[in-house]
Amino acid sequence: MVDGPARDPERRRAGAPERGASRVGAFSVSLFLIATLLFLPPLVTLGEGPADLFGLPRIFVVLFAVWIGVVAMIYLIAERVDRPAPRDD
Amino acid sequence: MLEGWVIFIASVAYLGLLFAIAFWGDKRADAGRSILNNPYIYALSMAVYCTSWTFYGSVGRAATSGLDFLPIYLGPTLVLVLWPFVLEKMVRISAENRITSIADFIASRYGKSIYLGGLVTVIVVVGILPYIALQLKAVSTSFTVLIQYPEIVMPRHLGRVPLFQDTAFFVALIMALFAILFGTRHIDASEHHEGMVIAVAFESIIKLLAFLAVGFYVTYGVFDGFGDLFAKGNAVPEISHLFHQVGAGGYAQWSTLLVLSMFAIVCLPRQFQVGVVENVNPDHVRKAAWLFPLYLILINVFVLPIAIGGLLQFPDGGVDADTFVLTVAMANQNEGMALFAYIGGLSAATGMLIVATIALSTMVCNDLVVPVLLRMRWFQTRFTGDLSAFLLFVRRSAILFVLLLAYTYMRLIGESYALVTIGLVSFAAAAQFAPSLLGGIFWKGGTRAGAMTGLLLGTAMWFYTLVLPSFARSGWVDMSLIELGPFGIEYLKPYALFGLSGIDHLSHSLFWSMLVNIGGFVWVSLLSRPSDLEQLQAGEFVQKLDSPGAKPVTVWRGSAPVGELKAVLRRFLGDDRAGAALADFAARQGLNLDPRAEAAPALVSFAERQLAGVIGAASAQAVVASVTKGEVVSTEDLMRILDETSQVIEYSHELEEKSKALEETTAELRAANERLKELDRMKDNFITTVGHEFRTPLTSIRAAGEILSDNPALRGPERDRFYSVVVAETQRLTRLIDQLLDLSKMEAGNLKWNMISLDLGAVMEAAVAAASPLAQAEGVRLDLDLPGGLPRVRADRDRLIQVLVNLISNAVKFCDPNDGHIRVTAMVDGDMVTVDVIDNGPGVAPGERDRIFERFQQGGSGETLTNKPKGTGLGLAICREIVERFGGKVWVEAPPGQGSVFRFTLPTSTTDAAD
Repeated sequence: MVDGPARDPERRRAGAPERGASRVGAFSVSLFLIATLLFLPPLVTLGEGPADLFGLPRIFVVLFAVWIGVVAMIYLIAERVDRPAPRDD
Repeated sequence: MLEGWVIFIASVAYLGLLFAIAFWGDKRADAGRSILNNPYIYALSMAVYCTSWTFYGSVGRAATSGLDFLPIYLGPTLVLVLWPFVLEKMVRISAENRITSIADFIASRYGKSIYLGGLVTVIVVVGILPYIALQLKAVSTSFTVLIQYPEIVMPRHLGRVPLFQDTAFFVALIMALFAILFGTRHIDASEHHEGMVIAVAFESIIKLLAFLAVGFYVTYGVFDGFGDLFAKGNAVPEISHLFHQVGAGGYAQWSTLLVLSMFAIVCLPRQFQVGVVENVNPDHVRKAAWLFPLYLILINVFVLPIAIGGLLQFPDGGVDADTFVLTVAMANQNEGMALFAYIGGLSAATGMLIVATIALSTMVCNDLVVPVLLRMRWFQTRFTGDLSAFLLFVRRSAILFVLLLAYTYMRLIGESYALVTIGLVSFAAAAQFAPSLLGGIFWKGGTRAGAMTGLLLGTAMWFYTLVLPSFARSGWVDMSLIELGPFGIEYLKPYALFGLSGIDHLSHSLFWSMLVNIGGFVWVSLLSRPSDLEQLQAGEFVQKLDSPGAKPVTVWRGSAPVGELKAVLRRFLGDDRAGAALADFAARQGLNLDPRAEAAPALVSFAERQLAGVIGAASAQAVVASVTKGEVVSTEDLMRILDETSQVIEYSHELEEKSKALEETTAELRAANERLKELDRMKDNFITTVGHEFRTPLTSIRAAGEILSDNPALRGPERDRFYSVVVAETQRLTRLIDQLLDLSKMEAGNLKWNMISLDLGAVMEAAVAAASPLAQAEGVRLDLDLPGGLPRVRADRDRLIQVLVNLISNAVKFCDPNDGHIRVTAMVDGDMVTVDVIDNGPGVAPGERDRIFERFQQGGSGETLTNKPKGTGLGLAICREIVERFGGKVWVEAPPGQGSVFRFTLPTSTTDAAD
């Protein structure tokens, strides 16, 4: 794995490598809190009801949309927020 | 087409393919070209989370309680959001400690406790074994349903299948063979089972494709897309309520499922196996963190559509919703799709069977069998040779034992309520590990006693509030237990403990079990004192987050001869492996492997870690302790001792410093005191001297005055002589007073200094011109010898002239009275310029050279009455004061021959421009 930060301009731009881990941590914790709130009552019940969204049951669409959004955020945090240089251990 | 032999051949072909893939994976790994170093395979292997319980059961659940199946998959997503803190940390800890299972992990964290490892293993066997049974049941059911094609008959109407016609039995045997072949290739359980992981990843692909295919088929083949499906479902009131709310089973249950599945993704033994033990590179966690949830989304999209499709297809309820994945295709005569669905279900079940069996057998072997055997005296005496083959035998037996036990369980319990609910019951059992596991990696204060208490209380509560009542509902225990409580005590009703009712059974059980589990863990941890080894392990596990790259601490484990250590390793690892591992380590560390030498602490630690990979941390510690002598001293202990010692040293250092400082101060004070005394004496002397100096001219004046007044007849030259004495002595007195005032002003710093950059040559010329009348009057030759290029100096012009005139007049006084000659010269010496006033007088005695610059100390004259002092005794003192003020020095030197040189230095001016 020679995937050094120097080779990836996008990661380099995001900040110093040692700051990467703590930034990932901060982003992760906040995403966890937000996602947990979204998936638990009472917020999750807001999608309930007989109404449709794009011709599909609203709660069905909302749940999967939020889920996809969360996974997309994990992707962004894990792969796009500056990652620390790979260690040789 | 779907006759028995077709299904049989398809099953055998699929399982054969699985063996081939695993075999290929192991071959590649042996050739050093492992394809395991790949985050995609890692993420896919984690999808072993989706068992047949997902494949068939999710649809069944959705058909009865709508979206309630979803939290089971949302929970893992939430945990993976926290991948840097949870999964990656566990992976790093496990890699360094060669962790082999979740029991090993927990035991290792709490001081390598054999009892804790054993307890976890027992809980796993009790809690997870039924889950394995459920997978066999699913295989059996799906096969039975499919083979009835084109009829759709539920297995419960068919009566019992004889043992040797039961697919589940053969699947159990084949899976046992698979697990033995690919799960026990290495004696070291912490090494990776490449073939197994690749096969499981492959199974994850198959089950996803099969489920998506069925989903597409139901949604777009049987119905006309999502819109059509939901519209048709909406028309049926019993169906439409399923997909308009999340809390069909109650919001409490929704939340409980979310929490349970969050625990399950790290606490289920099979998830720990693929996610932590089989991880080859901690960096893979980063990619799996979003890949695995993505997989979960994909496999869940069609759950609700299939459930609705099934409900619409079989409106009379004669078909179990758990079989919809198969039966919808069967009902529509799509044989290929039905077969693919069956294979998908088979892959979901076998994937779980393989991983769970390997994880369980490792635990049973390392945390139950080995610790017990090692304690038995007869075993110790009978088996003295190589144990590695024996260990493999134990592990293989454990695999067979686990699968056959699961099969027996399934045959015994059959269609009972207990088996249907076992999925969630298993989750609830695994959740009991969460406080010890997560508390163990985040909280340093957790102790073995705390973990033990929490686990025992939590599991007991789980059993009482979830398992026991399910037995009652299956008819094995009297129903009065649920309805009336044990012995009619209402407060102890398992489903409404202490009167807590109104929530579903699962939430009720999770609440109570977590309450006593977490409460017991935290409180007992706070009240108990951890042993040294516990403290050390706690530090190792908890601090992994702060210093992920830190090397494992080498702990002083007591000492042992290298030979004995080697022998122990040989027993458990086998000759070749032990020899190779030791030689490799010794070569890397530059250690001595002489069998009689004492093993270095690093070597003892290394041996223990190697053993830990084979028999678990707890047993490894016990085995190594059996050959080492001396107490285990943790690094923390050492650090503490060091700390205390260094503090004492530091204190004594400080004390020493202080006493030294005190001595210095005392000496300074004494010196200051001496100086004060000296000054006092000098002041007295000064007053005496000044008085004396004043007295001399005054006496002369008084004498002359008295003569003049007593002899008014004195005339002419006689009288003038006395007048001139009065005038001369008065002038001398005035000069004396002027100089005294000058000097005291200078010393007090009251004098105004006009420091400017001066042309030294010009100043010297002016001074010589001023002094020459004096010299002429005394008949002394005065020469000025100015070299060219004299630098400028920074000084007060008048004061500098005063210095020169003082020195010249001084020289005039002490010159050779017959042929007096004074030479004034200057020369540059580095950044200083030296000015000399050279006379040809008698010179200054060496002892007087310093003294003459003091006030009222005159050279040459002595204190004799005959030699009247020629000056005031202040001139040189003033000179010194001025020159030092300019930043120079003044002293007297004795040149060869006669005479003396009064020399002073001045710093050259840095600014050339005159100002």
